[in-house]
This record gives sequence, structure tokens and C-alpha cells, in this order.
Amino acid sequence: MKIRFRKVKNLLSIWMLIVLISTGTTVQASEDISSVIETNHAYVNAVPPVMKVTAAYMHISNHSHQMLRLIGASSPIAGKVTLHNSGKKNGMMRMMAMDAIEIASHDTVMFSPGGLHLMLEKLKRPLKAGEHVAITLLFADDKHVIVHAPVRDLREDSDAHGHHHDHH
Amino acid sequence: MERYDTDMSNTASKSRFRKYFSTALLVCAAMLVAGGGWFWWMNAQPQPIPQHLLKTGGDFILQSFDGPVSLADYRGEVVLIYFGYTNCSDACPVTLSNWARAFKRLEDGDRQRVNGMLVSVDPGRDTPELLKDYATYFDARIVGVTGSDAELADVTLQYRADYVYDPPEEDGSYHVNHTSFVYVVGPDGKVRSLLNHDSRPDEIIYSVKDALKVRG
Repeated sequence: MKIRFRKVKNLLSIWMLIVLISTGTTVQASEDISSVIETNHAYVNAVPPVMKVTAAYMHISNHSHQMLRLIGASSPIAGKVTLHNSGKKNGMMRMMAMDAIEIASHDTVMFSPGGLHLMLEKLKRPLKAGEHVAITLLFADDKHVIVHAPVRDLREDSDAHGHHHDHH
Repeated sequence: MERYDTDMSNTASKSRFRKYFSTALLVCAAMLVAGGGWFWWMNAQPQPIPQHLLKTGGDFILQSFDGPVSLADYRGEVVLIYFGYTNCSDACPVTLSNWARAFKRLEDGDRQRVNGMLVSVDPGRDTPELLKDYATYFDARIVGVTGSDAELADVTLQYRADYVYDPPEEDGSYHVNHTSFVYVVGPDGKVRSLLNHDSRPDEIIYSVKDALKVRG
């Protein structure tokens, strides 16, 4: 995962350089913090092709010395990505949009079914099980991390919480 | 004479022993058969319906893409019922996927007597056509149904289920809060047990097999 992030980081810096040279202006670019953010067990639910909505899950670890605020996400395959929390209220399953999720220094926040999840809305195309979806996690103070989450077919007999789907 | 007597008594005790022995054997066999029978009978009995479910459930008719679906048409079979909606990204796909996984693991005879029913409480977005595509994606034995607000109000009341719409966001999308039990309806049409939206295939198979013991 880290290797991939470094590659992305390198690519990104090259790209940024190109942008800087070509436009000749200073670009306020978002800072890639993949060196201090580790993600594990990332996956996206495969959904029926007619559906335009799905959920993504992952464990996000903050290895930095400061608290990081996750304030949103984006993905090239979704028109809109929002942070959500599922829970029970008055005996009913409820989905609550979250403005931000704080990840304390050296802490891990788990996005998992029935709890925190990234809701991918307005899907631009059907997702195929096995393909990888790029999801950019946006943090406060103009920081970001790109995660490549595999699409999982939930109907397959495997652990429903996705503990066996690491991609290094 | 004495010798003869002894022989006689020997023969008599031998035959008495044989008699006792065969009687004991018969008793043992009878106990085994009775024990086996009792065990078989106990195994063939479904668990009693819990008190709190006795007044939950009942027949209803809702709309599917292929026409009206009546719960009464499923007598003799088991139906898992879930009240949800397709735009539910987190809970619902897990529920239907676990049903599909459980169905696949049932033996053929049992599988042919098990069905799933997704009752959409979001008829504004979930058309019968979309519900069919959605439900059958998970398993061909799952049917998607919905109805008018009034019909859904009746059915959810029967099943003591509930749903509430959240206010829409700027782009018009909205969430539906809903109770997330799975109702296991037996071949007699009665709710036998409840499962959770995230019940594992093992738990589903256990409840389904128990419900299948009921004579429809």
C-alpha cells in the first residue's frame, strides 16, 4: 500500500511540476499525507448494476503526531462521496451524514458495515467485483490521501467484514 | 433318575436364562426404538413461537414487477421478509447478500421451499422494475415488492415495523430510517422468529431449517 502511495506521490509531484511550469503560476496544491496515513481492509460493495449508490469501508490509521480531520472524499467513479454513520435510533436503522471525522494522533478509525462508511452516490458506471476504485480522502488543512479499494461481491462466501482483502 | 433330574434342571435354567435374556434384549431394543423415536420426534418439532411474536405478522398483498404478490401464496414454504430500500448503501446489501449465501448452502429440497421478500418502504424511488433488478441480482429466490403509502403503513403496522423519511438534501436525495429485523415466516404463514439485518448465513440457515419443520 505504502509503495503504491509513494508512486502516486511521485507521479503527483511530477504532475504538479508540469502544472507549475505550464501555467507559470503558483498552484496551491493539496498536500499528500500518505506517509503518515495508513489504510487497511479497504473495499467497496459491489451493487446491482441498476444501483447508483454504494458504500466503501476501510480502517484509517493516523501515524502523525497531530490529530487529523477527515472532512470528505471524492472518487472518479462517483458524482458525490459523503461520510456517513449508520446506527440505531428509536429502534430504527438510521444513516447520518457526518461533516467531519477526527482521527487522533496514533489512532485508528474503522469504517465498517453498520457503522461509519463512505457513501458513493451517483455512480457513473456499474462496478465490477475485483476492480480497484480510487478514493481520495480529504483532510482539513488541504491534505489528502488516495486509496485504491477493491470492489467486493458480498454474495461470495467470504468474511463479511473484509479482513482478508489487503492489497499491498 | 438323579442324573436325569439334574439334566432337566440344567435345561430348565438354561431356557429360563434364555427367556430372561431375550426379554432383556427386547426391552433394550424397545427402549432404543422409543429413545430414537423420541429423539427424531423432538428433532422434527419446530421451536415454539416466542410470546412477543404471536401477534406479529399476517398476510398482505403488495406489487412486484410481475404482478401482485400475496404472502398467502407462499403457504408451505418459508419466506424471509425485510423492510428496506435500495438506496440504502450500508445495511441492505449485506442483508440480501447473507440471504443469498444462506440459500446457496441449503440442500436442494430445502432451498426450493425458501424465499426472500424485500418490501421497499421507499416507493417514491423504488419502482417495481428497479426492485426486480435489485432483488434478483442477489438471488433469483428473492422478490422485491412495494405498494402505496397506505398499503405500506398497513403492512408495517402488522409486522410492527416502522420507517421515517429524513428531510431531503439540496440535491433531493434522502435517507429512510427503518427497522431492520428480518421476519422468518413459516409454512403456516406465521412469523416464527426474527433475525437481524446483519445475521450471518449460519444463523439464517438455523432459523430457516427450524421454520421448515412446520407443516404448512
